[in-house]
Amino acid sequence: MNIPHMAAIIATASIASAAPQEVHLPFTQFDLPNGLHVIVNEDNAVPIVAVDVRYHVGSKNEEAGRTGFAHLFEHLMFEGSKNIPQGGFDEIMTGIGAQNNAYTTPDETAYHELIPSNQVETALWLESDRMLQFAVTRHALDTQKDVVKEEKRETDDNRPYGDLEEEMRKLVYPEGCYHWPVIGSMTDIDAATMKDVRRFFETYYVPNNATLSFAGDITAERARILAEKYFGDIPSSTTPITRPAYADPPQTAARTVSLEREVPTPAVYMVFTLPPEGNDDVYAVDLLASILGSGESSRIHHQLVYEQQISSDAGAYVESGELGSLLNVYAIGADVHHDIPQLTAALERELERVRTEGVTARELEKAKNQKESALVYGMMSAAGRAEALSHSWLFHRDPALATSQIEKYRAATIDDVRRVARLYCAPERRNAVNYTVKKGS
Amino acid sequence: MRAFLAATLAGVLLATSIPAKSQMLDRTRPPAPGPEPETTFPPFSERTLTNGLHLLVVENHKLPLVTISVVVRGGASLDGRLPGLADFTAALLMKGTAGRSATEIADQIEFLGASMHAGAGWDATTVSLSSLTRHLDIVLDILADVVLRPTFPEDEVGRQRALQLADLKQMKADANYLAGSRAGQMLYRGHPYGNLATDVSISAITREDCLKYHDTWFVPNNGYVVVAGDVTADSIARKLETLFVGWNPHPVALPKPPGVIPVDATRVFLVDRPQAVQSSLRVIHEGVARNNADFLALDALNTMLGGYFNSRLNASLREKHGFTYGITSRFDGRAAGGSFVVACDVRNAVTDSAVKAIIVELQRIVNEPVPDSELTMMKNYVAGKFPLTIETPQQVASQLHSIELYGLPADYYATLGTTVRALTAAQLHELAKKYIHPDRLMIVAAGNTAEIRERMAAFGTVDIVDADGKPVVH
Repeated sequence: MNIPHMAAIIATASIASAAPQEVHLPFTQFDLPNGLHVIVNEDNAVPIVAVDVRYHVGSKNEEAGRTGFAHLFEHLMFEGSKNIPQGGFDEIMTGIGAQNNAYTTPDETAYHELIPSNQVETALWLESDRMLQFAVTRHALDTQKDVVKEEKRETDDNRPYGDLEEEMRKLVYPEGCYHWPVIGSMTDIDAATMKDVRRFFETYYVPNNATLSFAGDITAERARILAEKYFGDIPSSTTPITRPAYADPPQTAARTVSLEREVPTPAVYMVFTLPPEGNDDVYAVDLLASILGSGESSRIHHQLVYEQQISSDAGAYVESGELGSLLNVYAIGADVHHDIPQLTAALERELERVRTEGVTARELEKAKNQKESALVYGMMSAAGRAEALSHSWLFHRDPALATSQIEKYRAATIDDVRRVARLYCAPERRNAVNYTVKKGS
Repeated sequence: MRAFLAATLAGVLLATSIPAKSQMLDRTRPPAPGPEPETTFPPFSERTLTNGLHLLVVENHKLPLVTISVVVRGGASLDGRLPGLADFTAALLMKGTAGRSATEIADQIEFLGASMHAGAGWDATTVSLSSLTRHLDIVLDILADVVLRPTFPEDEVGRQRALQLADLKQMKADANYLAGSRAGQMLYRGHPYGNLATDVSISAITREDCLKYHDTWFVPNNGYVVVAGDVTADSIARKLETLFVGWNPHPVALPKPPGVIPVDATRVFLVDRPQAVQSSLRVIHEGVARNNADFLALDALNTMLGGYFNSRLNASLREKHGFTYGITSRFDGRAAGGSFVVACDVRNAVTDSAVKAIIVELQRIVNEPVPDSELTMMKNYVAGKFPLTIETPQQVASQLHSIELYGLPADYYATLGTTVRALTAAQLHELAKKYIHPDRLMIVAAGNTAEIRERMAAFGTVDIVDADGKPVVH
């Protein structure tokens, strides 16, 4: 096929430098007397509402010997409450065409529903009943232990490189509350008792430790009336919540763990610790991560996958956390002979380049463009808007940060990016989990 | 920080005045729903460009975003003697054109915060692009370039070969890939859908093969474009007319694949993963093509069996037995045939018990009509979720894609709720008897054969291969 190239090629940079994209996310917020914080984003485009109930508790609130409990508890929240029998929650949700799910991180546990707007009270009825008084049986606890153990097998144990989170946390956080993986250990999951369940519920599942967000076809006024109706009578708790603090000592030398596993090819996963989410430096490192390893034209992907062809996948990304964040830099070998020293040297070369030479103005502009686009995409769904508002309140007491964070990205300069590269990606701050191929596999 | 303190104080104050029981809301009964909202399928426009390319547009100006998919019919079902060719060709579209190198394409798209992907499914090759509206002209120019003027540079063919071989190596370590691909290969034996890419076929693909695939099938009258988002139908049509000048129609004859051979007896196919702690399971038999008149009703029937969290299969295998983290079933309808498939991952020790529990549910739905309460729940689910399925222009675009690719009626999704509401338990029972066959199943498990083999033999003859598809002799 021979087709003349008709359209003129327009220089990309000149267009992209146009005025920045505006992103609007209007919201109202208020507190109920019992401490429940409520946020509302009204948007009537489609008759649906996203409801997000988020508790400020995660795996970092667990105790040794009870790891995985926050996540197991998340499963139990679907197993019955005072007025809803076991199985009732999902049955009622299904019967109205709603989508619902939940997830647990080291820092938070989120429950969310996407519902037709004429059924919003049903979601609030169910959420408030399980916040008020959940009623889980011993049998339900035992079944959910099995389900969670199957989840761990499916997502970790039966997958190549599946123990990465567990091994990485042990290495990076030798002492602190981020030491164990969210899913926990099989032994600890088995050890959970009904007494643990009750204590966890009474401590953390209280309105003054929760946020309720609405996004979609609901007015702020109606949201207030319904929030008061369904959640207003839930007593707040006076039990003090102990917030774990960052307890790991500053890292002074590189740390490495080598794992011989049933994996198809060698792989190197490096991690550098960063300040907590929201810190200005974390935004600068996030831009650095984009430049290093987001997309085919990023430095690491271009060098390792395209030019050198030693990796099938390589990149970098930031994982943010309430007490501390992480920069992940990784390379998976293209074949068995691309070994740890080769992959490590190739990644280290790119890190050394950003430490010494920094990044270009064009690279920084590209990273900012990517953040801007991602932010606009995030506003597309009601669920995404509710989640962003809730999260920004829970960790920053500022729902507006869901969109205003773009200003933090825009403010970062190439000097900032080079400074954070030197500060946080120093060789002595490196943690590496190296996978080698088990002999005979 | 101030807001945080205020909230905490309010909480503490109130804790001393917990409302008395009488002030508690009566939560014993569910709240009455409000009036059902009026929801209609968003309007979309259709037209045919001068070169025969069909264009479907759903306008939505809420956010400054546009998504465009250029689709060419045929996909991997046209791979012929080189399984993987369509996808290989698709990947190479973005690896060099008359005006841009692979590196330039990736850099220009990513610089704008846009994204572009190209890949082949069984029935079509799709190049899709998402971008902020303000960069539309630049990214459209790149899109037209990769679809119309790819050059398939020899060095990029070599890179792509190495990359796809590396990807295949990773995939062969994935239990889900092994089970799913083995199930497809066995069910669709002798059919293009059973034609799996292998190390051998990927290694054999040349630049000439890609050029030929592109020349033969990338023809405007063999394709269509779906656009969703912040554009007007007229303006995007004008832009595409200009960009596609010189892309001319010529006759295309898509081959008609043979029918899918029905499964004749229950058999077991194992893929050996010696260290596996779980079996990835597929229970499969032939189904129907996507445009079969019964498909919609079968999908409704399947919703109750394994289509939502409250399905019979999930209630049994997850909630009752704790065998799995989750189980689903579906009628997978394609252009030239389809399958019925149940999928889950279960621990080694309960692999055979899980299969038995699955068969129990298949028998139950064939032997007894569904009770009214269950039918009502499913109908309410389908009606209730309708507005959720048209929230974003991208969701609507994906439905237009199904309408166009499989030749469904234009009002298929708009009338779906009404059609489902009219279904009766007796009708669904007839369909279950006709299309679900508990007595003749392919049972596929990728797992630890040493641990599961003996008990799986209770279901039928056992065939074992390794991750490379080579027979394993025990």
